[in-house]
Amino acid sequence: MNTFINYKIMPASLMLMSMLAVDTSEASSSFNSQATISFTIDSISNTGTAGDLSGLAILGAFEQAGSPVSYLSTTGNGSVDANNPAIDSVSVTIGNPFVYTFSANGNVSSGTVESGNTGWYSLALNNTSATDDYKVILTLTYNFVANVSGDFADNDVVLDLFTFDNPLLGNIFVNANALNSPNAGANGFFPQYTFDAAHNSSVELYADVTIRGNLQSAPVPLPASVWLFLGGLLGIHGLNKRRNTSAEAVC
Amino acid sequence: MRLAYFSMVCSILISEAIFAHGPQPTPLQNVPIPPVPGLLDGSDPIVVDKAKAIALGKALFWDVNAGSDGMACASCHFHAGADRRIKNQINPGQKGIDSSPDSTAQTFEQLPSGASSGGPNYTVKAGDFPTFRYNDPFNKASGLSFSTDDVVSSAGTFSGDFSGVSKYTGKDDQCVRSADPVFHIGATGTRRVEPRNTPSVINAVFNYQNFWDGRANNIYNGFSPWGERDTNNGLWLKTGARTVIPYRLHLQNSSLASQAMGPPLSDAEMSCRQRKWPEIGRKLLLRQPLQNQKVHNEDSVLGLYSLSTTGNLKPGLNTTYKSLIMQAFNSKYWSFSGAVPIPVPNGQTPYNQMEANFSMFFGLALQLYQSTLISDQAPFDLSPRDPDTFEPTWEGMGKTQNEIDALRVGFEAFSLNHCNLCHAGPAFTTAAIALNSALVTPKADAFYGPANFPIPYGLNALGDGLGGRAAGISQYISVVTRDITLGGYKLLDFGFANTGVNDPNADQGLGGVDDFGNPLSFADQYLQYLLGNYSNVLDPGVNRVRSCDFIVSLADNTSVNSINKFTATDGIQLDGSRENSLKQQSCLLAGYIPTIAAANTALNATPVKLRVAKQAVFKVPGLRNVELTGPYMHNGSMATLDQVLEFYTRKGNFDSPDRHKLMSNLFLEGDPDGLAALAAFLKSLTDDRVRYEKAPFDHPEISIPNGHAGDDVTVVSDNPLNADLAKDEFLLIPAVGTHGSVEPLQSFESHLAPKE
Repeated sequence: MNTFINYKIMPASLMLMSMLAVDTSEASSSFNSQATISFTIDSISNTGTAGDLSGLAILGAFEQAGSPVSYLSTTGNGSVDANNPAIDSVSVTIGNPFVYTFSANGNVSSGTVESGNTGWYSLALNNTSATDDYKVILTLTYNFVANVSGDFADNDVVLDLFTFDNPLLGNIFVNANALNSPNAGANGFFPQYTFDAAHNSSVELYADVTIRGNLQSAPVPLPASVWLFLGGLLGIHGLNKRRNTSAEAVC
Repeated sequence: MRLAYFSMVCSILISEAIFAHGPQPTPLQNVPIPPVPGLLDGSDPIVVDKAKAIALGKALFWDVNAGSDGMACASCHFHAGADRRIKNQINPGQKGIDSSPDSTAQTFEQLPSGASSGGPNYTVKAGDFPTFRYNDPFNKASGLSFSTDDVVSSAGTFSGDFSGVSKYTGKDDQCVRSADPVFHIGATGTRRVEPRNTPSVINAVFNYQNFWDGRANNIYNGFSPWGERDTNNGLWLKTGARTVIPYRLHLQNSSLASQAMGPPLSDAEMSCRQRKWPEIGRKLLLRQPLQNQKVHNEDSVLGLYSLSTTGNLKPGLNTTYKSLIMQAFNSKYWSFSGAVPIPVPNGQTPYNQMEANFSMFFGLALQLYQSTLISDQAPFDLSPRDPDTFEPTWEGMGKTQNEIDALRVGFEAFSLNHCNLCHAGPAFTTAAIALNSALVTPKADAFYGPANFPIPYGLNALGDGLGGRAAGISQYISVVTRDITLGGYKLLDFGFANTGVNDPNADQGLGGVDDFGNPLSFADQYLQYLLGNYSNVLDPGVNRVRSCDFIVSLADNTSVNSINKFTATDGIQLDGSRENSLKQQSCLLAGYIPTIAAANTALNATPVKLRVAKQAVFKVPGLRNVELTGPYMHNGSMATLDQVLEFYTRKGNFDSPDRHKLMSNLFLEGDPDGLAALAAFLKSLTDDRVRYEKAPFDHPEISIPNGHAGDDVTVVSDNPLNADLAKDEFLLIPAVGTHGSVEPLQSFESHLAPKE
């Protein structure tokens, strides 16, 4: 009597089924990026009373923007980690730059990620003197790292530098993508800026950094070796069946 | 009596010979591409890396991911820049006026093959052409034997209602699809078909406007075909780290970019309905260009980015569309890091600036790519030339004396029959307004044509005796002329004509309106200018029309009354006097126009003086590579050059008031040798690089929907897109590199099944 279950090939069938199950798995995609910005004071001078810097306070700050400037949309198990604590008004002096690293990482092994996280840097030059004016020369340096992995991954790190008077002082745009630049970066500095802080006034320099991520998991194709193995397995099974058949014929 | 008759015929022939005048066909080498100020030049150009933009444009043009269901631009422009498919290529005539009860604009008719011919998924046969025919094809008086408003064109999309895209994978958009109410067999939907024949993109850069009805405006606004007619600001310019402002372009000589704004959103060509440009950007930007299409390692443009090696062609490029845009375009159009304030479908993340401006990247990249598609090495261009007349001698090209004789006769016949007055200049069309004007503008030490037979720029650049002038060509760009039609003297868009291909009710051509209800016709706008209704003048070129360049004058400075012109008795003024900037430079005779009062009086009293020709008026196509670009005419009604010449011999198919009078002055009847010579001359305009798909006409692989499984009676359903849609069949065009293909392209007719 023929039965539906062939115990001889059942282990092989189970193995086959488990391997076919591999076909439905997906490869993860991720991005990992960070931006380090440094505001370095190169010189400060009192344009009236030389050497008296008592009226000037230079303060650095950082804040991560919330929604809707920053956004996140995921499907499946996509996630983004972008926890960058705020820094509120730290004093910046010559030899004591304001440095902060803003980072965001995303990952998905089944689904998609679309994210944008913006960090707001600022440097305020507050002149509380009633009479003195100051000239401040500073340098902004940046170090960007943008890494992606997986077949479908794209990551931007964008820096925009601006003041109230000049909304487009500088821009750096770094893109990492899975196709031609999975590990991108930028390392450099802008030309020195000179700020005139008049008495009883303040001047601000802003740097917005945005980290955008786009991820999608990708189906994992069966490796060629698995297909060869499966082919062989099926061949053995077929041979087995033929032998059985011919044995039956002999009988 | 016989002698008198003979004398009359002779005198007619002699007079026609005498009147063989106007621009002579000239070679295309080294002509200037119409300039686009601000695109690549100036202190802040839009495109910062032209080579990258061309690569971007070529990839986008050939990428089937650009469509909602597998249609690329190239899907209809893959064969000498045109389409040679023969299955599911019939449109029922949807450009027709369908308000009348007996209209067949939405109804398929049978074709000449018989009762079972025509309709969706039909395979056209040699016996179906021409689709408008007379008992004697050379003689219109012999009686009409068949006509239809159905059009032989190009199959496009199934369309559907758009709902979304995937950023990385899948060629098809998410759309709600169902069987089309017009394009279906039984309950099974078939792909929709365009209502006009696909023209070639080769040399299209020279057209002042594009599309058959010229609606691809010369001025590109960055987001729609309509130039200045569209008053929206469809782009976003970065003005600060946290600010973008609505923006638009005003790029001249950019009708190819304007043209590119149409098909990707058309629900007949490439798109599901309600799809918008940012959504196409969202779909494509992060992808590998030509993701699933092989790219030859020796592709003249894309080889640099190809993943292929000799003998092992692979799909895709080693970059993303986003990377190419970042390298090609000024960062103020894409580097804004915030969200652009335009509506986003529910649940989707905001559009970034690169997505929001994708129309502009697409349009300009395609224009720059198509600007490389110039076929200037046809035998006609390469022939040695007579040093005095610049006419081709055809000597030393391996041709027999009989072939040379035929080509010489054909060359002469082309002008004797006034073909040259519309198919004028090196691009063989008066629609090449900027090119023709540039060539007839005197310029020191400037030459065009082959290096060994350089032709100087200047008034005689297109032929002796101010050769261009008879065709209305002057050194000043003027988008309207006045010419003779069956209905008398009429204002007419320059570079356009009604040749009587079909009933205007089957397709109005320039008689149509734009998306905002304004007339397409520039001549209509010029009429508004004459009437003083300046707010109705929408296109800047209309205000620069020069009456002294008109082929027939509008106003003469005489006191004698005229029935069809304005004269001093009506009230006239020097052209340009309204603007205090006279338009009289280089005029042979002073140009006049009616005063505003005279024009308004004439509008009711003598409207004949202000008539406009626009019904069934279409752009004059260039003739280069015409051997390979059938079917012919705006409705694809002719399959062979012989049928085209039969059409001209019988002086057109359909006489209507706006039909050009020159059609009446063709004298080809009873001269089979002359017709054969004319056909031979037309075939001398085929560039072998086009024929063999050599650079710049090489291309990636493309798989093109080519009808459906089954035929025009029964069709297989179960398309993967939707069970109610017909299963596609495909035509695979292999990738070729810079050295082209071994097999030459064949004419449209050679792909047709034999007559039945």
